[in-house]
Amino acid sequence: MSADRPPATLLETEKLFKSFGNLVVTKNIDLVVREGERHALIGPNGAGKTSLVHQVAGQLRPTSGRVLLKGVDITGESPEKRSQMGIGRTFQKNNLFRALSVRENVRLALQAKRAGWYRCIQPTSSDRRLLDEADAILGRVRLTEGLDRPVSALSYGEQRQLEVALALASEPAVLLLDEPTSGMSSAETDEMIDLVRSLPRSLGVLMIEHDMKVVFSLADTITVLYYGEVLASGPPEAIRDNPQVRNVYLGLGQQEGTTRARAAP
Amino acid sequence: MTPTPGGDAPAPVSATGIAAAKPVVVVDRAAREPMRRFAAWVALIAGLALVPLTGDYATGLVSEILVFAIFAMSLDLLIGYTGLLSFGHAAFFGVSAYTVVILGVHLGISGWIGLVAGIVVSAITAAIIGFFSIRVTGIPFLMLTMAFAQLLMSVSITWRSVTGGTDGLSGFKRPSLFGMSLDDRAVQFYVVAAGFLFVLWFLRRLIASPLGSIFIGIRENEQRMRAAGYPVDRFKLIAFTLAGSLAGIGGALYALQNAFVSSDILHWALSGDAIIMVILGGVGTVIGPAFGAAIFLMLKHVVSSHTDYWMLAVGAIFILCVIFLPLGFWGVVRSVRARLGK
Repeated sequence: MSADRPPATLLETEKLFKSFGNLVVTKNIDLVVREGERHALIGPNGAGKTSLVHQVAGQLRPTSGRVLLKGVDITGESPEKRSQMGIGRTFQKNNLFRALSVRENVRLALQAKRAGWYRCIQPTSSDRRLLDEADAILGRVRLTEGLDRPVSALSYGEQRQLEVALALASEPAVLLLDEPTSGMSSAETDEMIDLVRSLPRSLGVLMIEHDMKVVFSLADTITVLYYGEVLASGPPEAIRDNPQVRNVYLGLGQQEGTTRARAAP
Repeated sequence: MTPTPGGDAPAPVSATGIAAAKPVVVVDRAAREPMRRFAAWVALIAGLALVPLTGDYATGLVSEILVFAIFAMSLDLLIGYTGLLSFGHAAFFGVSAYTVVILGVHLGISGWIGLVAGIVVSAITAAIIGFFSIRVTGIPFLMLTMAFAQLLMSVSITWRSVTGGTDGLSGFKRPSLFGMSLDDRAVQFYVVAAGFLFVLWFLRRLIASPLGSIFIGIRENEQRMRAAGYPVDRFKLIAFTLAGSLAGIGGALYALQNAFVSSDILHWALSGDAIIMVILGGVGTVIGPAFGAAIFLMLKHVVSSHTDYWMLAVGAIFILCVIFLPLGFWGVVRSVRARLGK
């Protein structure tokens, strides 16, 4: 095997098209995420980024086109099947088990891929191994204290971290991060950057992000969406220098793009 | 909760202080908890054992309460733990009771075999009704489960030769246990109490188990459960079938106790009663619905001896409960216990 062989393709979309009546939200999108790739998806609000992620993870069915995971067509599969096959995701709005403890959130997500869910007599607390694994994952997202607190007692930033922990707990091959740093303080954003950097290289990451600091410090590929279409796709330098992209999105400089994103919920 | 050290500076001292103090508390509570649980079980069993000494009327009432407690607790597995508001739970209670009485009256089959058959039949019925109903959620789910139960009721009314129609089916001969006939109120009571204790024990274990945690996860956030890889529909069906089987235990015991069954037992009003019991007692608690059943039936017996409009009293209490005590009777007990604190 030659070392310069390109890394294997994990995720691929082929002419992905989704419309609600006359409203086209994704227009024939071709996108590839390879092993180890950190792929950022940027574009103004309403560009179709989240709709694309929903179609990849199964929350939305495309009108036409295909989604392939490691070459297997998963377009018709349910979200739960896709998760089992290796697609993990976070949600733009925190989507957690709010009444459950932090540790139980992750333990429950981990349990999905373990045998033994059918046990209905032994308590969950007897499975020390699973609880230790949950703590290890929480450690990776830097949640180490107060793991018995209910989610509702966490700060917003901590809930964002837990959101990532839940996605990691499903042991994905491809991780979809939908605005992981939205609403985070600058210090929390830096932690999130470190966290994404520390993820195993075997993982492919597709990340929607508005914060250009995050995008340019993490991504090795950037795809720009504009009104449901791919405007440009390529390495960060090429995107930064692309006049069309500068025009529609980066336009008036980085600050504008960032502030707009911060203002949006 | 445990105080956290305010700043970083005095960390070494306070950290060791807490580290030294905390394990003592943890060990103490961890050691006390199984003891307390054991004591609660002993008290409950002893209390139930003494009930027959209170005379036939009280024994019969407590027995009825325990049967409906099983029914309400099984419904709360759906409403309170899985987040499925079923309005047709009477179907499984009724089908099981009918199975026991029909097998006994028409084929002379012992009530004990009938008990097992009743539970099996309600499990199968629940699996079938669940298979179709869990495809929808919310109000459509509620309507569909109710419609299925009403369907079974109309069968029980029309199929007179087997079910006795609205007159009901009597002539069931109660079986005996170790030579003691269930015609004896006390024996009857102990059999019902054993069923109640089993369901209580099973539900408590289930809720704390991996399977139970999946049900709770579905209640909390179905979309996230799917994203985590859980085939949610399959687990809803498991919950529905389990709850139906447990209701079947209640129904079979009802049949052994009353030796009679009529189509009222499949009426939607009984499903509604069960929902009221669950809410009165405490949604999302294991034992709460049992207290709900007790409150409901004692109100019924006490108030109906004075007036025919006993449902008016139940309704008023229900409304007050929903407004002021959303966690029901057991919610009040819990918060009082928490306030008395350790």
